[in-house]
Amino acid sequence: MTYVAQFFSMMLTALFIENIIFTRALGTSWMFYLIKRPKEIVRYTLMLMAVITLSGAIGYPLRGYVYDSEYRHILVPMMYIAVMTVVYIVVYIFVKKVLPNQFEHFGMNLGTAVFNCAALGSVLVPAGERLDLISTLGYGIGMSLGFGLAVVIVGYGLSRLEYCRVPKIFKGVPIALIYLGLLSLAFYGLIGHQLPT
Amino acid sequence: MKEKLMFQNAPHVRQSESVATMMGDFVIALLPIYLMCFFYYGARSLVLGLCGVFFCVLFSLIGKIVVKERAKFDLTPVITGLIIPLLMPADIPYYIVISACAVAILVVKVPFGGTGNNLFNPAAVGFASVALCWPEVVFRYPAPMQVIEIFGESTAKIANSPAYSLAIGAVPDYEVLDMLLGSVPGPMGATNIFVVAACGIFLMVRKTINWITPVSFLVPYTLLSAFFPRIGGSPFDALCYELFSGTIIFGALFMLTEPVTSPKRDFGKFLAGLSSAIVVFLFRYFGGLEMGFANALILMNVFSPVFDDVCEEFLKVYRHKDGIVASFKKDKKQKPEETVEVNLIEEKIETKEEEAVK
Amino acid sequence: MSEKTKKLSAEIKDSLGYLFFKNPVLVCGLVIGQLAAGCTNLQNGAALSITYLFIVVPVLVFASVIGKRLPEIIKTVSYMLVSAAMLIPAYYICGGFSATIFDSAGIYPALLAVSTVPVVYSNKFAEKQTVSKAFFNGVFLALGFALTALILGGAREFFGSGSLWGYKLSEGSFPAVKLPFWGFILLGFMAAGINAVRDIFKKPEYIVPQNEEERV
Repeated sequence: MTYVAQFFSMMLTALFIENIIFTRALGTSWMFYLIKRPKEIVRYTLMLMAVITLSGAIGYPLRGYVYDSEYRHILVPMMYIAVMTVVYIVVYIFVKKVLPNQFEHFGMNLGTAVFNCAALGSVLVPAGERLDLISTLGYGIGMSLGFGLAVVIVGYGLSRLEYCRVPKIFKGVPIALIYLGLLSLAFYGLIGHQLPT
Repeated sequence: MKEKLMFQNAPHVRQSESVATMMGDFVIALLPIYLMCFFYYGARSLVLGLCGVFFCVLFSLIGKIVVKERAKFDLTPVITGLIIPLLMPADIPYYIVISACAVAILVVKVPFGGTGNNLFNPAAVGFASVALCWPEVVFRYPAPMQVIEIFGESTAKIANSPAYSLAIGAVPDYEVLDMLLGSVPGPMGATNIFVVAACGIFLMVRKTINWITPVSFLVPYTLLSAFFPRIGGSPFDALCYELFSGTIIFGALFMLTEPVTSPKRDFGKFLAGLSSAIVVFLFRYFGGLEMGFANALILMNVFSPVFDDVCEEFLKVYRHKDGIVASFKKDKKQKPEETVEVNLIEEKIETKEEEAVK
Repeated sequence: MSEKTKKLSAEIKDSLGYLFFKNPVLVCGLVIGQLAAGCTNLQNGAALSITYLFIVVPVLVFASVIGKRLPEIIKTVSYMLVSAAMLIPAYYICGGFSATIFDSAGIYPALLAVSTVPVVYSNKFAEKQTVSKAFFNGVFLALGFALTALILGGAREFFGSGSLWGYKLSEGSFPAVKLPFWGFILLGFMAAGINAVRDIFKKPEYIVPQNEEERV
């Protein structure tokens, strides 16, 4: 029971208080790519969830070997990238053999769906805080759900920008970034003084 | 066919008034609150208000020159400049007010296209950003009934505000009547509940603001704070303390009802008020800052188009009377231009203007 | 002027746009998150720029040399392994400047290894280019990134704590500028600045290729 409570509290923390986009700012460019393709959001969020969970679970027993090293700033990310390449091969073969329909949908983008800052960041952060396995999994699932949520919220807001008479020099990337910044400010009300590192 | 409908951005005017009179009403309604501030804290509150207005107008002029906006000058920066100091303590340093005004105008208003286009409430964003930056100054309130020096370091006595007591889980040691009259430490404009409420009712009578949003916000908020009190004691006490501390009433009347950022239809306004109540309650209950109203308001501004769309769907079902499924099928076939027409939204004037420019 | 140098200069001229008018961060919107959250002072900006240079150039050159001959699954994996291996020289170079530079930047330099350029750009763009073109593209992408990162990091350090590269210049006045949301807003204003400069010089707008074939 305590494991379930721990799992869900970690998930909610990752979903709202440490939202992957608004407070951690991971995978932002990937989000801007997805906003233009609203039909793909669910597919990529599920893929992100699978990748984070798998690489978190595989990396958990391995990280003990590298974490106390002098060069951990390099070794930990390199270890996780290596783990993610294994995950990529597994996912590639699985999707190609079992879900050929989905494989066509992903097309060339399967590599992008696995290797992105959102996935690597969501496994590096719990590794840095030395969370245990249950918390790592909960954190990863919360992060991926938070990513889907953020894509929907930002996409909805940006669609409303079409009705605004945005000045010429602010059109496009600038206004999207400012919008994202203001949205992130709203989420900081939840955190208050304790800022994430 | 020549259309009699006028397409324009919010604030939409329904009576024989212009936007200028609406904004004038707002300014008039904010002046008695400044009078009360003068009564409680001395002339510094008035200077703060003037400072806010001056810098908001200055920044909006600068922004207009930089982005080459041709719109006429209006009173909205004046309102923003009047609201921002009212959310802060009376002994706030001037540079904090000026930076809040800069954020409100240069980040929220100008990039989105000026009056009628801002997606967020400028005053709320300005206040939230400075509250994150200098929380120890913005949430440190002087005791009322003392004259604060106009310039220089304030030597006023500091007291715990009721909102802070609630945030740390203690019962505020103030009478409820004192809280209604405003002689408790707190944001300089938001403590005198009677005056704020009277000004709000004046605005409602003049139909400058809609009564639906404040009511649909305050009633659920009251119920929530009565059922889930943060402090011991009777539910009535908890309710009064929750409702009268911080910027709840002031925000509900003057910030939540801002015509540009709130939903356009009545049912949408009701939904927005209800969900804002829940979000503000959650922010105050679990949030790190003792006053989450501004941040919650920014978050709700994001969702106001969602409420408009939900409302549109309901109306479509109601009008077609073909049942939900049929209306959804129809909706998929419709082109975006047609939905816009129902939406009372302003795209047409834009195209007309572009043609005129060409 | 021989044929070869002419071609080379044309390639350099083409890539030169990545420095300003095709800036990878401000116009293409590529590496926003790492800058908004990780680039809080000048040292972090330098660490991110060096890491980016060390990752982008080898990966793009590698892609243009042998990318075409590999099957897709091995290709993506090998790009990733190259970019992960390139963290090692970046770490040592950064350590030469300052001992704590990589610590203070947190996880963000490492995240550059899986950013858009090594993952996507190499896959879809660099494979069809010549080696020299890929090299110059990489160099100027990294320089454009470095320009943005250094300006952003310097501005945030100066306004946030009143210092530059750790040297105290004045009293810090606006600490919230180090939070990610101010990073987003400042990047937005810098992008608007580039648009304004483009307006003044009457340059045509650069539209980021978005369809599947030529996406950056």
